[in-house]
This record gives sequence, structure tokens and C-alpha cells, in this order.
Amino acid sequence: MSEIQDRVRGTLPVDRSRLDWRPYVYLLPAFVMIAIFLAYPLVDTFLLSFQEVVTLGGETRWVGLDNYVAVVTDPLFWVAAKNTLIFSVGMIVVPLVLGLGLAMAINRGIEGRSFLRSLIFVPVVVPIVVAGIVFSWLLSPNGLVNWLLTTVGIIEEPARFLNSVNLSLPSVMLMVVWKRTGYYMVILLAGLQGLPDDVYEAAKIMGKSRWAMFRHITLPLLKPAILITLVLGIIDTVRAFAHVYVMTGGGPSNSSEILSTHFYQVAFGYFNFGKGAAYGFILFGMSLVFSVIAIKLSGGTEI
Amino acid sequence: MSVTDVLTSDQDGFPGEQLVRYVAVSLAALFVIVPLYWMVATSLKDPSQIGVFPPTLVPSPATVEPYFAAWETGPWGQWFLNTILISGGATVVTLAIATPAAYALARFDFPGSNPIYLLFLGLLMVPAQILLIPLYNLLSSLGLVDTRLGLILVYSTFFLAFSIFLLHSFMTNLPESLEEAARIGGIPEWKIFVQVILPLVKSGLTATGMLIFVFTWNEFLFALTFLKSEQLYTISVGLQSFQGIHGATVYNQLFAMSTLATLPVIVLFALFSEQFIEGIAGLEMQ
Repeated sequence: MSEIQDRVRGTLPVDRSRLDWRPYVYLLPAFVMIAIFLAYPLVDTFLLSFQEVVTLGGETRWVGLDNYVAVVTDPLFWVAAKNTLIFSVGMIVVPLVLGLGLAMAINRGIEGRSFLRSLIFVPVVVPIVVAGIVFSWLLSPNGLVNWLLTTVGIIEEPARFLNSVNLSLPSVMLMVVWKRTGYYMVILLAGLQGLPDDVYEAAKIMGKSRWAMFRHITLPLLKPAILITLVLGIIDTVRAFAHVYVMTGGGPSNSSEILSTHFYQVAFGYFNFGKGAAYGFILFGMSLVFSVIAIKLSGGTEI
Repeated sequence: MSVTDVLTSDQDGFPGEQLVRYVAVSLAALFVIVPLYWMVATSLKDPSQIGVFPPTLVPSPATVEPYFAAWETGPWGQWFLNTILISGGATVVTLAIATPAAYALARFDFPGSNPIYLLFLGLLMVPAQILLIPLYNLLSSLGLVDTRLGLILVYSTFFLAFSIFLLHSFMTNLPESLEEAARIGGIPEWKIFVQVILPLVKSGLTATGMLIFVFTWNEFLFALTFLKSEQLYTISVGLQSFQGIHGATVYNQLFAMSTLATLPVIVLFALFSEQFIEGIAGLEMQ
């Protein structure tokens, strides 16, 4: 992250005597692409978020902040926001903790290290639609999970995981944990490999406990890697769509509706483009705010 | 390493630490494998073994019949072809645009380089779905809604910032004197980029290309929104529509096609797993 910090502070040296046109030429295609397919739509969404589409032909009128008010006074928005917060435990917290544990377990003294690392990473490349379909089947009333739970005796009757108001969201989160743990593990493993061995040697000589070493050496040194996983996790939580859409469609009775699926419902289910645009900017703002909070909380005050 | 070695080699931590490690990693491996095994096993069952309780753990008899039966239910060949064209196209376009941009940021000091770097960083944070509506309008005015090209261009834009960062990290580590020497040797600018730099970042290009290919292969929301005709579906949209239409009745067929949809990305990953993981981990090295 050090380069990012240098860039923010503008301390990365720039030699202005060598001003030339070449880098701008190399950047031009990227700028054209971003201008057309990202910047223009972004500005367009922003303007649209203050308008209302009044005719089928797409005529609009300005309505000020009405769309934003409509979003935040929609009770479903708050249900979806609460669910997204719970969902983020499955997207970020659980896979981060599991990924850290696995990275530390794999990092030293294990046979077949590189094979295991690849194996645990496999779910990351499995198409999200496939993962959703497979977990729906695993969790179905006569599926493998119910068979295991009833056989072991944890429950007496097969549970209807995806049709239950209490279990639908945790069911999706189980799939998400499956999909993301390897992702975080790989990032954290790379971070662990960058840690200097001699610090641990010194700590060992000083008779520090394993926990003290983890708490005072590993965690602080891993901070940049953890920060990256947090920011990626936040962005992906706001983006997550197919995860819920395929398994539960947000139901039953909105119990697994998250912001992203609710946004899609508003924009493309009811074709309320103005409110959808405002909703989009609220999501963008959340993404930014929570990323900045994550950076601050993890002690990156120098950013 | 024998089992007793594993159980007793605790010189490097608390007693039995080695055992705890192996148990934790084995459980994780099991958690990863079971859903994939279940997908493949279900795809090999005949209808009599579907939906029975307790479930049949090993397909008997195992049959590939569901694969052929499912293939008849829709234009699967066309959907696979579409996905290959779209993912391949997006990979090529993204690399073609991101590589020179990454080169500019990694190898030149120029006024504006810091704001540009931060702009790309900010673009990574835009939740792409908020652009669905204006992009839909833009694509329809360009006549690109419901076309493979439209989706290729959209994907290429969304993976641009990510690819620039990744390639950038591969390029900053090249020796500084590289271009100097080439320039003194009188090699024209474009040749320095194409013939000197590109061959040196081949592994970076492979890693980035593989990641884009897999991400676009798996993408669902934009494909769902922008591809209207059944003939243009990607494999993910096809699977989802198959699940919607046929429901839980033909799970063996659904999983036969799911297995086929997953196979290409798993094979790619198996072939290039080192580059893949280096690519993902490389993000963190920025």
C-alpha cells in the first residue's frame, strides 16, 4: 500500500524537465474507454437520480431530492440494509478469519502446501450461478445437508433452509463462505510470506508466547494484507447479486433481500429508473464510506 | 513424513500444533470438495436416484445419459460458444488497452501521473451495477443492446482498472536501465514497448488474462440484463433459465450442464494455478 500512500501525498518524485507526450499516448485508449462506458454513464446516473421518468418515451422532469427520499423512506431499503450487514459477516468476517487461520496453518511445515493452496482456492473460480445451484440442491429438504443433520441426530425433521425466513440468508452465506475463504487465504498467505523470519526468531529467544507473537508481530505486519481483503470485501458485498438471486431471489418474504437485489428490483422490476439511479448513488457512497472507515480503523491513518 | 512424525513434531509450537494444522486444512479441503463432488455425482445419476431420501451417495448405476438429455433441452452449444466469444473478446480488448496504460504509469514520471493513478483506484470502487440503467440506454442508442460486442465493451471497461493495477505491479519491478539502453540503441518508441517490455511481462499478461477470462466467464448480472434473445445467452444465464423452467425436476441434467460450465475454468486454473494465485496475491503488493 506504500505506493498508494505516496501517490496520495504526491511525494512520488516527478521530474518535470523530461515532460513528454509518450505516457499520454499510452493512456489514451484507456481514457476513451472509461469516458464512454464509465464516466458518461456515471454522470448520466447522477443526473437521472434527480429526475423522474414521466412518459414511456423517456421524457423526464426534475424532482430534486425526491428519489433519494423515496429510497430511504422505503421500508424495504432498511430491511435490505440490515440483511446486507448480516450478509457481510459471510462475505467478509467469517472467510477472513477462516482464511487467516488456513493461511497460517499452510504457511509453514505442511506437506503438499502448494497443492492444498490451489485446492482451497478452487471455489473462487467456480461460476457463481453454479455455486448457487449446487448449494440450493445441497440444502434442499431431501438434500445432503438434511440427510447428514438428521442422521447424526442434530435435527429430527429435514429443514426447509431456503424457504425459511430465519434460514434463507444464512444458507446463502454458507455458499459465500465456501466461495470466498480461498480468496482471502491466498492474499493473506502472500502477506505472511513477506514477513521477516528473524523477527520471530528474536521473539522466540525472548521467550514470547505464540499468542503474543501472533498478536504483536503477525497481525501488525499483516495489516496491509488484511486491509486489502477488507476493502475488497466491502466492494464485493455491495456488488453481490447472483449470490442471493440464484438461491432465494431475496425471499421468502424479503428475508434474504440485500441492497443489491432490492436495487435491481426497483430499477428493473418496477422500471423506476430515477429512484434506481438514486439508489445506485447511495450504494456507491456506502462503498466509499465503508472502505474509508476500514482503512482508518485498520490504523492506516497515514492515508 | 509418517503419522507419528506429524503427531510428535511439536518443536515449532505448542504440543500437537502440527496435528491441529493438518486437521484444519483437511476439514477445509473436505468443505471445498463435497459440493463439487455432489455436483458431479448428481450429474451421473439416472432419474430414479434423484430426489430420494436418504440420498444415493455414489451414483449406481453411473450414467452419462443426463449430459445428452440436457443437451437436447436448449441451445447449449450456442451458449458455450457465446461465452467463449464474449470472455475471449473481453480478455483481448482489456489487455490491449490496459497494457499500454499500465506501462505509462509504471515506467514514466509525468505531470498528472498521481491523480491518474488515484482515479483508476477510485474506479475500482464503483459498484458496477449502479451503471446498469445508463449503460443500457447508451448501448441501445449505439445499437449494442443484445449483442455480444456490447457486453465485451462493458466487461472490458469494468476490468480495465483492475488489469492496469495488476500489470503495473509486474512492470515496476523491471530494471530501470532497460528503456535507456534501448533508446540509446536507437530503437523506436513503439518497438521498445512491444519488443522489449511485453516479452518481459509475459507472466503478468498471462495472469491478468486468465483472471479476466474467468471473471467474465462467471459474470451474471450484466449478461442477464443486456442479453435478451435466448440465442445470445451466456452459459450462466442459460443455466439460470434452465433452472427456472425445469425447476427441481431434472437435477441430474441441471448438474450435467453445471459441470460442463465449470470444467473450462477449473482446467484453466489447474494449468495456470501459479500465475493465477500470484495475480490475486499481486494485488496486495501494490
